Formats: sequence, structure tokens, C-alpha cells
Amino acid sequence: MASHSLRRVLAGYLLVAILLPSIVLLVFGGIWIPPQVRADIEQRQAELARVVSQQVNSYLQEGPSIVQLAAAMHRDFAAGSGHWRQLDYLLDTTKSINSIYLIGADGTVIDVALKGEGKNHRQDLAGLDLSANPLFRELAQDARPHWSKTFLSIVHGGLVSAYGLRSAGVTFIGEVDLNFLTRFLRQISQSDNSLIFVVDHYGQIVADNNGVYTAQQHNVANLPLVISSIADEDQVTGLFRFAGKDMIGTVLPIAGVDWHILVARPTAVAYHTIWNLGKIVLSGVVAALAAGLLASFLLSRKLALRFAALTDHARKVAKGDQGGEWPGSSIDEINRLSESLQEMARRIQDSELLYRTLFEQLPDGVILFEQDSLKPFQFNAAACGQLGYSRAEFAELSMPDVFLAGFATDIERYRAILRSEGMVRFEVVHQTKGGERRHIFVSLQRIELQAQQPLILAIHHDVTDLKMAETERKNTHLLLDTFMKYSPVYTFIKEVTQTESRVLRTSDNCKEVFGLSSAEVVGKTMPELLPAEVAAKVTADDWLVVSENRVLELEEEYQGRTYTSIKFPIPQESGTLLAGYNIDITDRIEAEKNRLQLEKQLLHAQKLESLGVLAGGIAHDFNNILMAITGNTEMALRRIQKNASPIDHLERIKQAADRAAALIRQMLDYTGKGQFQAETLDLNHLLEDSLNILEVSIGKKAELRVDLQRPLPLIYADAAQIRQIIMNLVINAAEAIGDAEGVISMTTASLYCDKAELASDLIDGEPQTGDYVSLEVADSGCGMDALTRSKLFDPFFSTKFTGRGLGLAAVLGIIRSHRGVIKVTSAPGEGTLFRILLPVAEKLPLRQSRPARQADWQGRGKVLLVDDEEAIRDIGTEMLKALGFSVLTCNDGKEALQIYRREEDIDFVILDLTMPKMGGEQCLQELKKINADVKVIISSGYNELAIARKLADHPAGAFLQKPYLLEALSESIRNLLG
Amino acid sequence: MKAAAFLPLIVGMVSLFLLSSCERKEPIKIGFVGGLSGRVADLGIGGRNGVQLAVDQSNAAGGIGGRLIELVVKDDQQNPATAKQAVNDLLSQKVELIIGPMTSAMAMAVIPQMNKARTVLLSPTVTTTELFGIDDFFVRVTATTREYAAKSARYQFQQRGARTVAAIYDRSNLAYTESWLNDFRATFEGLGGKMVDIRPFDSGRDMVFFPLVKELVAADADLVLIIANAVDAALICQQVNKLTPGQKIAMSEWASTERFIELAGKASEDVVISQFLDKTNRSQAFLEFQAAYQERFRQPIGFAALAGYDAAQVALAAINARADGESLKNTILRKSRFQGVQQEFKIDRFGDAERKVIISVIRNYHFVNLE
Repeated sequence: MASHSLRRVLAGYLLVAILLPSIVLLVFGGIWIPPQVRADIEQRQAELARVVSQQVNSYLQEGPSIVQLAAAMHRDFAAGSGHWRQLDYLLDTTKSINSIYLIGADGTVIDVALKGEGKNHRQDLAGLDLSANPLFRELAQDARPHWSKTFLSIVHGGLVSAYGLRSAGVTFIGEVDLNFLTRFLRQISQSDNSLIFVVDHYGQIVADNNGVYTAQQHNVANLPLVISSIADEDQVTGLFRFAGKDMIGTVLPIAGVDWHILVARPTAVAYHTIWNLGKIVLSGVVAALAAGLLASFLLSRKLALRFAALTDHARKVAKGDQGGEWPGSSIDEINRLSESLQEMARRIQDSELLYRTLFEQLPDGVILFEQDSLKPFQFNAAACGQLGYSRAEFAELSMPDVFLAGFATDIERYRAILRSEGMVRFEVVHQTKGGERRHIFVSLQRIELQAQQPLILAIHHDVTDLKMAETERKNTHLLLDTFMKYSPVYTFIKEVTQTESRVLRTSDNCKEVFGLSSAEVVGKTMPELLPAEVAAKVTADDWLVVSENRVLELEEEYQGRTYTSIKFPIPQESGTLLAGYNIDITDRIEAEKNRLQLEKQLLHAQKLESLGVLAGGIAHDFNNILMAITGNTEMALRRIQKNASPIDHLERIKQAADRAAALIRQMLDYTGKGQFQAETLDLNHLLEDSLNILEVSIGKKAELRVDLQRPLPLIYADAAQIRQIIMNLVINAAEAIGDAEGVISMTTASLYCDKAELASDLIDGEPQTGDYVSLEVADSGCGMDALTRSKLFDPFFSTKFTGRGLGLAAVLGIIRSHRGVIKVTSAPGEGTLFRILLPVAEKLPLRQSRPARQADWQGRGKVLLVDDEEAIRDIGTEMLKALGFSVLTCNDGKEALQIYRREEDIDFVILDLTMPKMGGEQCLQELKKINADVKVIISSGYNELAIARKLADHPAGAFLQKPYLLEALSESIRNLLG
Repeated sequence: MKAAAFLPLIVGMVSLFLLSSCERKEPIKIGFVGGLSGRVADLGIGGRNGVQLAVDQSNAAGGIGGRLIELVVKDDQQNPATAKQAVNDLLSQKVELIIGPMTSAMAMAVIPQMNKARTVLLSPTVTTTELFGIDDFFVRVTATTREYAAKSARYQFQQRGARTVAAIYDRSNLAYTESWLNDFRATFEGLGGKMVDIRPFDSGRDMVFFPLVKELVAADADLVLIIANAVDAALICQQVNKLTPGQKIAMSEWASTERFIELAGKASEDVVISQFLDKTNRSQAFLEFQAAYQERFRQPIGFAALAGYDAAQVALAAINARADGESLKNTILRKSRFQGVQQEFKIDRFGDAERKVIISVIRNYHFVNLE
């Protein structure tokens, strides 16, 4: 809808308000006034016509009178009396008659009376033949007096009309001068513009107030109102056009002469008054209009300015200028409009903000292109960001610029579709600023705007990642398919519910499992593939995997085959898929069994070999010792028989026994089951205390270097054993250096050790991760080959001629008993590094056995000594008795229980661990069942630490290390009894 | 205040003005000049009526190109000064052309004005040879006096046996009468005849013919030749007939009107006239013209009316056929052939018409063709 300015509309309304009454005034005036005016004009013209008619009639009556007088004179006077000359004089006195013809029956003029200068023509007129004169001819046919048509007088030249009468065979025709009428009409004429015509029966103008029309013999028989009046012999009024003017006229018959009076005035003149009145009214209306327009202009301008101020401010707000107050007004409506605009502006701003935020935050590129130039008109950050351009750079591009070469030619095709269908969608490859190709799904839509050229809305959805993901998905599927196809083990994917497990995908080798092809297996549930019992278990297992989201490894048997089934959940939103493998381990189990059997046999052989070496070594050493004992015993008996003192031999026997005990201790150390007296100590102090003796031991060519970390955490260890370790390692290092010059370095440090750090082939079990103290002994000696390294810690293995081969074996045993780790790094010619890790001190569960020297201590009570070794029972009984106790003995656990039940006053029990029928450990448990407070001393060749570990659940009251002396026994009893 | 505020009002007023303009197109103005009063008025009035009838008929048919024809009539009163004034008036009213005058004398008086104004003066009845063969703006639809006079001379000499002629002519229309007389004389004397008496007169209300005619007939010529208007010719005929009944009389075509017969009465009997109006013509065109003229003017037609009508038809045809930028004179000369009421005639490059002349005689108050 077309809109107009407020000023124009208001001015229009005011104008209408002024125009409407004016129009009503003009319309009603136009309807009512003209008929009144016309009636008035008609009345005036009719009055004038009547006056003129009377005058004309009066004038014309003179002619017939004189003609009749002439006729009378002709009748009364004899011919040739000269009376016609008298008529000349009479004519000179009249106004109308110019001449009177006396005409004979044949038409010849007998005589003629003439007026004025016309008398000069008497000679021409006498004897004139007027037989062809129309009036004469009419009178010949109709004797009644007639008026002729008008004609120009041959005597006077003027227009005349003839009046004729016939009497006594002669005809009298008098020419009546019509110029008089013209002069008369000119005198009474109201104005030059008015017409007063005297018209004859033929429409010929006989006289007129102008004179011209008469002289020119105009005929107005073509005027309708003249025709009507002549036909009806009545007054007629009407409009007509004459001489180029619109006239209003009235025609009135003149009595007696069959002539008519036409009185007419130009309508412009006739309606002059009404025109003037109209002009005045119109002027008034125009003045009112002008005043109204001026007022409307001023008022509308004032109002429009207020609206304009409001509009200007609204336009500023529309352009984003938020500053400034909205213009106020004293007009409520404008204020309400202002408030509405403000509200609208706020809402538009909110809407704009929402739109802008939405526009900018859309992950897809949104661009408004100009339709013709294809230049971006607006675009969001994603649009330029997708292609790696800055906003400024992107604004300078056009649509084809971002198309990869080869795609740009399609633009015209898309534009054609856009023109015909309004939108088009396609996928295209765009090139980023850095040259990277991006697959973009483009949606173009033509937007017809009302205030701007049409735009093209482009939405760029980057599908590159989707396409890559799709490709990756396809590849993954292909990979999975290929993998499963060629999988050597049965591989499957299932969809699992609590009640059903259905195969979705399977490897081709399922035929070997189920006897069915992959296509036949897929889609089947477990009961369709397996026996009901097996199917139920598999379904339950499958559900367990899916519902608890855990990996399940099972061993299943089916159709005589054993399978390791590994099932794991496939993370899905629905959580109902699992995958797995069924590995047929039947053959492997068989092979494993065979391998274990072989290993067992091999181990047994190795044990036999080791035992042989060990037994050989022990036999060798003990044979030597026994040689010394038996030899000295024999020599001592001889001396006793000779009553000689056997002391020397007895001393040697005791020395041999001591060596045997030392040998045994070393062997126990090797097994880690030796006597163990642990305490917290500082390894650095221990090293420093040992330095002097070490330096003496290694000889002069070897240099001993010490690098100690300070402070060093304390360790919980047997100081003697640790010294033995240090001594053995340093002496080994010195021997490796031999006679050459070399360096032996000792380094201590504290460190945190994880499993990798603690891993060692030499240590059984898994040492606990934690803080450790390290001792490294390195030498620059000859180093070792792999074979030597592998046997390094074997007992009785030695590369030295003099060694017994128990040094490093003992080191290994001590390290084991201290829950430590030992590592060796060595290569021929590159020296050797021994690295020992000992745990940082912690409180151990066993109580420390603190020796209390009370040689004279005596106890009392009853003791049950349980040991399968008779010699032990004998010497033990003797020692207990020596300490004041009564002793009961037995050689196994079962017997001990019987005695303990029977003998209620037994104060404590000394219990060996290794016994037939029932071992010490089980016996201890049973004793505690009989008497929870039973007091027991465990006596064993194993060290205390090992026993403590073994009896962790059933701790004994005290521990007595075999072999023990009387003092040790006494101390253990005191400790037990408190 | 901005003009825009007045725009509806202005547009309304202009629309009203244009609407009124559309309703009444500017008429095409044609002038007429001729003697409408005095002794030669019958010629002028007849010519004017003929022109008026043609214009009325054209307007009744819708005018030319939607424009009506407005005929502006001026009376030259057979007075050169008045004629010049009349022509000035008409030219000032921007008439397309002027039809008239009806007499040669008046034509001679106004032709310089017309040439200067480069406006066509199209005369129905001017026959003087003084304007023959001149490339000017004078155009006529009638033959020159040479055709009328020569034919009349040959007829009188050859058919009526006249060997002597006494002539009387009107000096008030000297261009015509003298031309006519000379042409007659040249032919007649060429045939062997003789002009025994020639008497001029000045037409007017003071003119008394009897003495003059008495002298004329005293020459006892075989033929009395009258070169005058109808009224004067009728009076002369009457005088001749009074003095020498049966005298052969011949007249120029100037007097060949009904008015002559009315005034001459029996004296008109056997008067021979050379003219182009064939009263006996019974063609459809002539009968329709005759009826229309009678209906309009309640008068019998004369040659002047017919000539006026023909001249008007030439003028209207030329206006209608005028090409853009073409002058009316060129249009008339280009068109050259025109259909008159009774005959087709041709206008040559000098504006002179070739028209058939007939010899007629008045018998029993009516014109009768002799050839």
C-alpha cells in the first residue's frame, strides 16, 4: 500500500474538510441557481421580444396603410389626375414606404410613387415589367394582401419587403424600408453582444440590431428554436451557437406579418451575474482553501516535526545509536507512540542480539551473498573460520573464490536452479586459505527482500570430518571383516540381553566350532547353536560381561574340546554388545602337559645334579671334618687306654665340630635359613667400620673408593651377615682385579624401587615396591662371561682354586633372608658391578631375642620335648634337667598331643618343626586348640625370620635356633616364661 | 509549503482543463470575403451560402480530423478598401485560407496581402485574365473571362448572326468587366464582327440607365452586350426592351442569377448568357445540393452558390489531404483535380481552373442550355 507523509495526509484531511462543504455549496448552487437564472433570462428576453414585436408591428402597419391609401386614391381619382405625384410627397413624410408601384394586370408598371432621391429612377422604373416578380405572381393567384420576401431595393439599394394588394385588376406594391427597423433595433439594443433579429417566415433576417446580418441577408432557418417557433407560431426559448458564440435566445411570433422576433444573448453575458456570483463564491472557496491549506500546512508541519523527531530518533536507534533521550511531546498519542517505539526498539534489540548471537554461534558457516556480485553481504565467524580466512579477507571474496577449481563452473548452474526453484542444495569442495580441501554441504536459498536487492542465503556445513569418519568407519568395518575373516581363532560379536545372546558377526572358522557357516550362525541365539545347558551358561556369562562391563576369561568345554573364551564388552550407548574369542586350547593343554612333564623330569635331573654337587661338596668337607673327629677320637681313646691325656685330641675334635657347625651355618646362610639376628643399622656406618679390614684384605694395587650418600635411611638387618656380604663382594672384586692395578668402588644411596627395578632372576617371589638402600660394589677387573654369570651364585662353584664356592652362594642366601635384591652386571674385560638393594627399616612381627646372660638360672616344672631326632631328645633332656626341669619326650606331633592331653601339668613344650606323622606347625595348632594359652618354644635349624613367616598365623611363644647350647636354651625358657 | 501539498489540487485543475480541451478541439478557421451588401450582394450572398452549406455539411460529418470548421465571413461591400480591411481581419484570425472574393476588382485589391501572408485566396467566381498564368497564392475554381467571353462571342457571331455589338459594362468591377469585354471583343472582332458602341457605367444607387441605354440602342447594333451585375443587367434589359423590343441581348455570367429574371421580367426572355451552371442538370449530386441549399436558405440556387460550394469543397479537400508541413497551396496544386457538384475540374500550376462553359438562354423565366 502506497504511503504518504503525515504532513501530506493531514493537509489532505484538512483540505477535504474545507473542500467538502465547498463542493456541497457548489453542487447545490449549481443545481438550483442556473434554472432560476435561465427562467429569469427567458422572462427578460420574452418581455424584450414582446416590446420589439409591438414596435415592429406598429411600424409595419404604416406600409399597408399607405398602400391601401394609394389603392383608394387610384380608385377615387381618375387616371392622369396626377394624384400619384401627390403620393410622392406623402411618401416623403413617411418612415417606412420607399415606393409604391401601380402595376397593370400584365405586370407592367403603370406608375410609381417614389420617395426622396428615388424619384430619379422613375424613368427606369416606368414601364418596367414585373411579371416575374414573386409577389406580383402571388397576388395574381391570391388577391389578399401579402408581404413579400425581403430583397434589395433597386431604387434605394437597401433591404426592403414589399406589401402588395390587388384591387380592381391592378396591383399595388409598396416597398417598405426595413433599414428603419434595423435602426430601431440598434437603438433599443441592450448591448453589442445581444442579438435582436426580425426574421421572416423563411428564416431570413429582416432586421437586426447590428445591421450586418440584415445587410448580408443571413438566414437563420437552421436554428432549431427558429424552426420550432415558425412551425408552432409560439414562443420558444433555447440555446444555440451563432457566430462562434453560445447564445440563449427566445423567439416570439410577430402578429400580422408572420415574422418572428429572436432575442438572444451570449450565455456568457446572460449568465454574467451568476458567473460573477460564482466567481465570488469560488474566490471565497479558494481563499478558504488557501487559508485552510496554510493552516493545514502549519498544523501538519508542527505535528509532522514531532513525528519526524520521533522518526529520526527511531532511525538512529535502528542504526544502532542507543544514545540520547527519546523526544517527548505534550501530545498523549505521540508519547504513547514513543513509548511503543521504545518498547519495540528494546524488543528489536533483544531480537537482534538473539539473532546475531545465533547467527554468530552457529557451527555452520552462514553467508548472505549479494545476488548479482555473489559478494558476501553478511557472514558469521564459522563461515570464514571454516576456510581459514579472517573476516576482512573473507569479505573481499566472492562465491566462486572459495570453490575448488573445477567446481566454480557449476555456480551458474546452481544460480539457474536458484532462479527457477528458489533453493538448491549440493556438496562441493572448498579450498581453504591454506590450500586444504574441505567438503562442504551447501544449501542456497534465494531471499526476496522488500527493501533491498535479493540475497542468497548460503549455509556451509563442513562434512569433511563426517566423510573422513565415514571412510574411517568403512575402513574399520573392512578391517574388522578382514580381521575376523582370517582370524585363526573363533571370533564373534554378539548382542546380549539378560535372556538372550544373539550372534551378530562371526569369523569364518565358526564352521570348525559349530559345523555351520558364518552366514548360518549370524542371527542365531545360543540355544539355536548350543545344547540347552551350555547355552544357558554362555548366555548368563555374556550378560555378566555386558551388565558388569568387565572382561571375562573362561575355560569352556564343548564337544570334547577345551576353549579359552575371552569375552569383553563393546562400549555402546545401549551397552548390549560384546565381542570375544574362543581359542581352542585342547592341543595347547596337551602340549603344556607334555612340556611340564619334560620340565619336571629336567628339573628332577637338575636337582639330582645339584644335589650331587652339593652332596659331593658336603661329603668332601664333612669327610675331612669326620676324618679329623674320628682320627682324633681314635687317638684320644688310645691315649686314654695309655692313660695319657687326650686333651689335645679332644680340642682338635671340638675344633673339627666347630668347623662343621660353621660349615652348616654357611649352608644355612645359602638357603636363607641361617641364624638371623636383625637390628636397625646404618649401612654407611657398617661400611666405614669395615674399611680398615677391607683395605688390608684387597692388597696394595687395588684402590678402594667409597661414595656414601648421607644421610642414608636405616635398614633392618643382621650386621654380621651384611659385613659378610661386603667382605665377600670386595674380596671377590679384589680377586677379579688380581695382580693388576684397579679400582674397587663402593657406593650407597637411597631410592624408591618399583617392580621393574626390583626384577631379578636370582630372587624368588616378588619383593615389595618401596624405599630401598642400595649398595654397589664395582671393580675394574676381568669381568665374567655369561656361563660364569649363570653359575656365579651356585654353591660350591668357584673359579678359584682355593675357594669352597660358598661365598657368593651365602651372599645370595643373606640377601634373600633380608628380602633384598641382588643384581650383577658384568662382561669379560669390563669389570663387574654388584648392586644390592635392601629395604628401608620397618618393624618386624617377631620379638627380638635378646640374650640375657644368666648362667646360673634355674627353673622348675615339667617340660615336653618333642623331636624326632633321638640325639636331640637326649642332649635336650640332659640340658633341661640341668636347668631344673622334669622332662617328658616324644618323637612326633601326634604323640605329643596325646601326652599333653594326658599330662595336665606340663608347663611348656619344646617343639621341633620337621617331624614324621605330624609336623610342628600342625601340632602347635592342635595344642592351641587344647589350651589356647599353651607355652611353646619352637626349635628349628631354620632361622627365626623364616619361622616367623611360616607361623605368622599361629605365633609361638619363643624360638630356639638349632643347634643350641645350654645358655641359649636357658634364655629361650626365660623369655617364654617371662 | 511544498508543492506536493498542492499537487492533488493542481492535478485536478489541470485534468479538468485538459478534459474540457479534449471535449472541444480548436476549430479550423476558414475565411470568406465577398460583397454581401449593395447591388452585387446576390453574388456574395450566393457564394457565402454555398460555402456555408459545404462547411455545415462537413461539420455535420464530424469536421476534419475531429476538428470542426469555423467559417469567418467578411463583407467587402464591393469596396477595395473595405475588402483589404476584411482580409486583414481574417488573416489576423489565422484562417487557413480565404474563400473569395466574388468579383475580380476585389481580388485584384487583396492579392498583394495574400501573397505577402502566403495564404491561399480561393475565389469561386473571379474570372479576370489579369490573374491568369501567375504563380501566386490566388486560386480559382472558375474559368477566366476568356473562356466565357470567347464562347459567348463565337456563339453570337456564329449562331445568332450578330455582326455588330453595342456593349455596356460596369466600371465598378473593371478588372472583370474590362477583361470580359476585351476577350469578347478580341474573339468577336476576330470572327469579323464589330463593336459599334461601348458604354461604361458606374453601378450605384444613383445610376439611371434609361438615358444611357437610349444612347446604346441608338447604335442599332445586332446585339446588346451587358457586362454587369444581375440588378443592373435587369434594369438595362428592361430599358432596352422598352426602347427596342426584340433586341438581341447577351450577358456575361455575372448576371446569371434568379434575381436577374425576377427583375428583368419579360425583358429577360431570349437573353443569352455564357455560364458554367447548368440549371437543367439532373445529376444526383446536383439534385442533393439543390435540395440541401433550398432547405437551408429557402432560396433558389445561383451560379455563385454553386461556385462557392465548389470552392469550399476544394478548400476542405485540400485541408484534409494536406501532409505534415505542406502548404495548402501545394496541396491544391498537387491534388489538382477536384470534383465539383456538376463537373470535375482541374486546377493548373498557376491556380487557374479549366472548366466547361455552356451557353444558355432564358426562356419563360428559366435558363435553358443552348449547347
